[in-house]
Amino acid sequence: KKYLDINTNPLTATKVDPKLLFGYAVTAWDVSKNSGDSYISIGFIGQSLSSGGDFSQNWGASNLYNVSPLSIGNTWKVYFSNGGNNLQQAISIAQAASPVNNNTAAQCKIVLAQLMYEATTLYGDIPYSQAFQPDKYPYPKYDAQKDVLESLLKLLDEAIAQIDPTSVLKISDYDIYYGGDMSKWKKLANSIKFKILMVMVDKDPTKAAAIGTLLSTPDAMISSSAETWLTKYTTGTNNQNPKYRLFLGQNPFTYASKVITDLMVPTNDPRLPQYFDLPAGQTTYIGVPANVDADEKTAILGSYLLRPDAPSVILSYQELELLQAEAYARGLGVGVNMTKAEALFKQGVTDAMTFYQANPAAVTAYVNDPTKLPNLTSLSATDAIKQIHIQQWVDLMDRPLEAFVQWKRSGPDGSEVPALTLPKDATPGPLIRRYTLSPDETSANPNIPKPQPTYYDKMWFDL
Amino acid sequence: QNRTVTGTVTAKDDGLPIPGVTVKIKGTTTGAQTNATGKYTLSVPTGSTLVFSFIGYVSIEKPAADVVNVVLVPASNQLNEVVVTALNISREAKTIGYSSSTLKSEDLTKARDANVLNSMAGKVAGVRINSQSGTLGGSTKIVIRGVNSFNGNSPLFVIDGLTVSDNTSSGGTVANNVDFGNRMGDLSSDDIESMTVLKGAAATALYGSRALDGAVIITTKKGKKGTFSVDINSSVRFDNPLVLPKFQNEYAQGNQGVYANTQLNGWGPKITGQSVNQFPNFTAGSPQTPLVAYPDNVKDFFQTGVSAINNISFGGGDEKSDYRVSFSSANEKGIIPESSLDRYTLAVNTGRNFSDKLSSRFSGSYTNIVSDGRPAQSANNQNAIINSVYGLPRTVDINALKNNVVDPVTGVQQFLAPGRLGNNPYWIMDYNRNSNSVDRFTGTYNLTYKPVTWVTLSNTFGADIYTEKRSLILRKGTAGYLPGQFTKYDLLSKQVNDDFLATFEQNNLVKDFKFKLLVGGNINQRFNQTNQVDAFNLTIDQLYTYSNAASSTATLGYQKRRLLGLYGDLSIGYKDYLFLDVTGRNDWTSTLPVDSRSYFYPSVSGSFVFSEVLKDKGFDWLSFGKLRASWASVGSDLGPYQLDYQYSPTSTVFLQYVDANAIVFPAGPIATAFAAPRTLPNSTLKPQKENSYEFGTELKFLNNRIGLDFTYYHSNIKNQLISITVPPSTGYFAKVVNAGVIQNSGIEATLNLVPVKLKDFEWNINVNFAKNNQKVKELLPGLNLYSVASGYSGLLIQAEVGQSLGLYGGQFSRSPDGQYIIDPTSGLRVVTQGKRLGSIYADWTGGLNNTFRYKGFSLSSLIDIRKGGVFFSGTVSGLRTSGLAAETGGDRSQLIVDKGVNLVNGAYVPNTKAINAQNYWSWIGSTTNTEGSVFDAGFIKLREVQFAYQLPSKLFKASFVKGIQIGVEGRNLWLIKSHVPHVDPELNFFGSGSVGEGVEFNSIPSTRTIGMNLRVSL
Repeated sequence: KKYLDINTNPLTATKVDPKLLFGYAVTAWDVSKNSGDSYISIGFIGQSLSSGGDFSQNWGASNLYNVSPLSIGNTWKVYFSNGGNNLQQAISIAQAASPVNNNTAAQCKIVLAQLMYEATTLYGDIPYSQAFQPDKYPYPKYDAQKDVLESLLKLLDEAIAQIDPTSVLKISDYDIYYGGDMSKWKKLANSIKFKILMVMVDKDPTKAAAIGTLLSTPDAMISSSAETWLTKYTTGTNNQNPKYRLFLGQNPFTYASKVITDLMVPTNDPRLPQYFDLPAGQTTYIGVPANVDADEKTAILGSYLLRPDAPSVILSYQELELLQAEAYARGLGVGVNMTKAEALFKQGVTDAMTFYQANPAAVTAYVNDPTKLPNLTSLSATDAIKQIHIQQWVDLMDRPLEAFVQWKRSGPDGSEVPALTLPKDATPGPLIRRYTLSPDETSANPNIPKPQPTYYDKMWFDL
Repeated sequence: QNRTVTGTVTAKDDGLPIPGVTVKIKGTTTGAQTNATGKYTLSVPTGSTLVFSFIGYVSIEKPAADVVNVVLVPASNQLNEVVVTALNISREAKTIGYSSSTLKSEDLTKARDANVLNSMAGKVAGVRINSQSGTLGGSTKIVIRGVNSFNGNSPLFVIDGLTVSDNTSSGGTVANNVDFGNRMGDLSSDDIESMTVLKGAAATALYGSRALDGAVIITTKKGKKGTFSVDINSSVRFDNPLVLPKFQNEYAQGNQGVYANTQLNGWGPKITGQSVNQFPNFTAGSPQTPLVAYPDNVKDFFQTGVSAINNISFGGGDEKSDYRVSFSSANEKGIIPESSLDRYTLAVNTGRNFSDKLSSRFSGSYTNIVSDGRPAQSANNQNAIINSVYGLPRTVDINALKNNVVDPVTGVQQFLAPGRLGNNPYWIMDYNRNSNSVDRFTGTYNLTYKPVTWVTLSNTFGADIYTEKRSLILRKGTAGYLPGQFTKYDLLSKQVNDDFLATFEQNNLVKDFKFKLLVGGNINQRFNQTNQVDAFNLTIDQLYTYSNAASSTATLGYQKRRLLGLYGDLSIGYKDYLFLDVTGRNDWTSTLPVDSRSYFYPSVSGSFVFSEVLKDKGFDWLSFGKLRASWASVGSDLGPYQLDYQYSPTSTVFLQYVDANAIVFPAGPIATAFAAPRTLPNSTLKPQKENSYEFGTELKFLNNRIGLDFTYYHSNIKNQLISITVPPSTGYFAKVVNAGVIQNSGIEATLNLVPVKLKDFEWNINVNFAKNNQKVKELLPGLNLYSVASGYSGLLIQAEVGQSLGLYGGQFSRSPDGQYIIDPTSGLRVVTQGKRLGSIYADWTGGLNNTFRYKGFSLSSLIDIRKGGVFFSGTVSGLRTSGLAAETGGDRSQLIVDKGVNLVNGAYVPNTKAINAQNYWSWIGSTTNTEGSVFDAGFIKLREVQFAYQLPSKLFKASFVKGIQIGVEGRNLWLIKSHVPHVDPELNFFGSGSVGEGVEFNSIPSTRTIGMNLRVSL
């Protein structure tokens, strides 16, 4: 019988250190976010980027709301399998260890919360309570987006409670974000909570109280640009930013969207030369509307953003500052405080421009010129909030997934900031508001929502 | 009183003397054998009858006389045909209770193909052969009686008792899908004596689990007893593409009728000789050139393929020994420039009888293959050659490309269009050549001991060992892979097999009964190891060594599995007309859970030769009649290492539009990464189980002028061991389960007719027909549909309960009365995703073989027919969306009003929206609309024509030459009927190892071959 006992693969392991799974999960996730599946497709549908229409046949028809099923399926697989499940496995191993490796579990939970947040804001209702348990739930049910978001807040609280700063058991060398500094992880968890609450608060005003609590101790969240949550890339071969790998320093076939040049060009935003490259002989940044043909004068996506060592931002300090400015301007959990809002707004825009290495003198001049960056205290509440939303969206240009969420939450249907219009030649009807469900799910899971959401169906948080 | 009888025994087929023929006095054991010149001498009592017998020939009885010359007729035309069955047991065909088909040497070497499997196409009912692409040395898929499992189809191949590998490179939509061939293509057809196809489970029951998809039993040629003989078979053949697309030649590149040299398409203005900025890179510094169409620019890319296939064999033997040594070569140049393949095979087969009791035989071969220039085929890869050639704007002169591959000053590739759009096809073939080399040994050694006449003990030990090296190169400066990269594979495969057999034969225990009991044991081990190294970012151009790469990653693969089997077979024959076989086998496999790794399966088969009973009862018109029936149950295992939950080291992550190797670990501080399995393992798996039965009859009428063989079969395979897709929200892509039932049932019929048979002229017709109905009876409870293979943009091969495996994807929506629903605003057809578009399998297949013989002349033709099924062509899709296909041309000023209806306020009204050709064809051809590029897969093909002339032997009677035959042969000559425009409907993209078929994406066109052949026997 021993002769037959050879069914053990010599090339795989039945036990691993959770950091190895964490390492794979965060890499697979970040690469996907910056790939043709997520970055390109969502950039076009959310109009952060422009395909340049027929000028380039490179990117398919996602700008016509005809997103490749591969992109929809691959992105889903990252959230639930390549990313999500490896984090789940790491959590299980850490929590089953003796002694329990609480910090590692917390680190993985915080990242998992962000993954699930991204999944629900892109796909709407998703499996969460029954996900990752194939034996118990071979066909996970879909939870309402509200319940998913509530669960993520709980998961983050659980992670915060689990963090034990005194323990040496944690992911440190493989912690590409904070090198095992658990105090920063705690701040990150609170920051994600804040962001989730800001997405929920329009639909569920009771979330204002929790926002107020977090605002009362802003230092419990990311409190400097140095603490921005990002993935670093290097100039080393095959370790470059995935966007660089997409284009390899060549013509990216991806153009400035007219929506964003309309916002940036009139004020000569100092980020323009960072965001875009001017074609030879051009002096103005010309963007094109969705699916309209670009020509040799159209500004192309900037080589600065596509440089090999460009970091991939997941949650930035400037983003948080602008969200806090919004909370004060709207009085979410705090009294309306335009002065406080203005200070945060100005600092947020400064930090955003500085992050993208805009010319410092131009940044200072810009933020201090009220004809370019209006002083919120001089505006009506509505206009002030709109200015914040504009800056939030412009800051997120290189992060299409976040920009798309920002646009949806920036106002009720028809009043979003900025106003988008139906792409040329797109199916007449409403604007796109989500990815449809993954074809891998719809073909294998009888518990998918029925009817399946269409691309223009709004999700719970989207008014 | 004895008299001395002498004589010569010759063969009817070639008129040559046969050495080693047994001549016996009927009713005794006294006898003699013919010598090297076919002569014998025997002293016999008067009034005796002599019996002449020789394997492969019909025994004949003659009354003794002074001189008795005998002509033996080959058994293949006769009733007492000998068939090689499982475990290389030779049996008389009439005793077998299941259907089998045998192809003889001449079936395979007539119009021979470099891949011997292709020579089977259209010749055996129920066996489907598909050449996958026109790649030189490309792979061939064989399906016997329909696909039995969701996760692959691979008949068992056995050469002289040794189970051998038919591994193949995987196909699919991967970025660099290269057809590296299948390992059965390594065989030299000149060394094959016969190939027997065992189709059903009863036929293969003794092979057990491994022959679930049928078995092909190959016997190699042995030396004939007699003088030293030499056979030479030499062919030279010429290939060209069987089908090339039809292009429009009226419109230049551009968009909506406006010229643009940034485009590789045909949507620009009408070509009228106007002066434009052509692609600047290959117009020798004068960019303003008049627009001219080059109608032959695709045709001119392909060259005439030339191949020489040669074989020389030496053989001989005497009473005690025989030997045959054969050397084969195939030297080929393909239709794609720079593609070449050289194959050399040395084969030896030698036997020795040490005594009456002990004998042994060795047969083995060594094969060496070196091939270069295997092109990449792919859905959307800039290195795919067909994409690059077919996609040329009509205004591009292929010779300009050929002469301007590299900028002489900068050394940089001359891209087609500015902005590194599109690789020059000559760059791809000159520099990005994929090559492989194979070294393969197979050998078996058999030792047979007969302690007493009724007991035979035999052991067959063999091994099949090969190494294959593959190299895929992307030179620095290739669009899509600018920094350059290369991948090298080292594959090692070893299979060791041993069968021990004890046979007990008793014909005198009970009157009129014959018994044969066979018991045996089998040990099989299969081992595979792969070492893949991907190297990226090359420093020195065209230097493909790891230290020249900025980074490289190595991936190891390892698989080892073992199988032990014990089996028995009891055969009982009653008189000459009733036969029964009962078999049983128990397997123990290393790949299943310990509790379920042992499994048993039985089979029963029987035959009744009713013509024997009716003999002498006035049924003279019936020459032969037999009924047969069988039932079998067969279990099978799965691949190794699928039971435990294991974390795999992972060196790369996937990046859409770049490839799997875009980001490689170590990534920053993450030195190594591990990942949970994507396929959820299952530690409670059971063996897969097939239950099948078949009935059949063989009938021959009018002195064998009419022959009919008919079979009905039915099989049910349950507990399918399948990797079933699960919702990714479980954390996994797939899970291995025992689930699903596939049923295959069908009929096979072969009709032989000899309408004319004169002294010098004979006309033979052979018609074969097969119809298989596949039905997925069951999947998992609650699941009615799941994917077995995926293509591109929503195209899937799926299993659906109640249906055969089918093609699924975007379908044009239709109104209740069947008209296309057209969007009134865009004027384009509305599409619904995820719809069944048809079965990937044929309704039926057939072959029609005609042979005429007149004296030394013979002419034969084979027509291969497939009816029904669907086929998706990515090539057609691309040609239409890019406005290059002929149908997109014509007068484009005429707007198109697609015939259909608009759905307006719940009512269907005729569509009136007019759209231009570009919008219409871009939508029809879009990969989103799978249906737009789906066609009926049926075809009629003139598969083979062969004309041969056997020179009269009197011409060289006095010389050492024994025979000369010259011939002209052709393969895949004419696609008589096809429903698919632009490409051959037989192309397949998924590769021969996949269940997926009926889908093509930029596949290399299949080839038409014409050749000449010379055979000389010395």
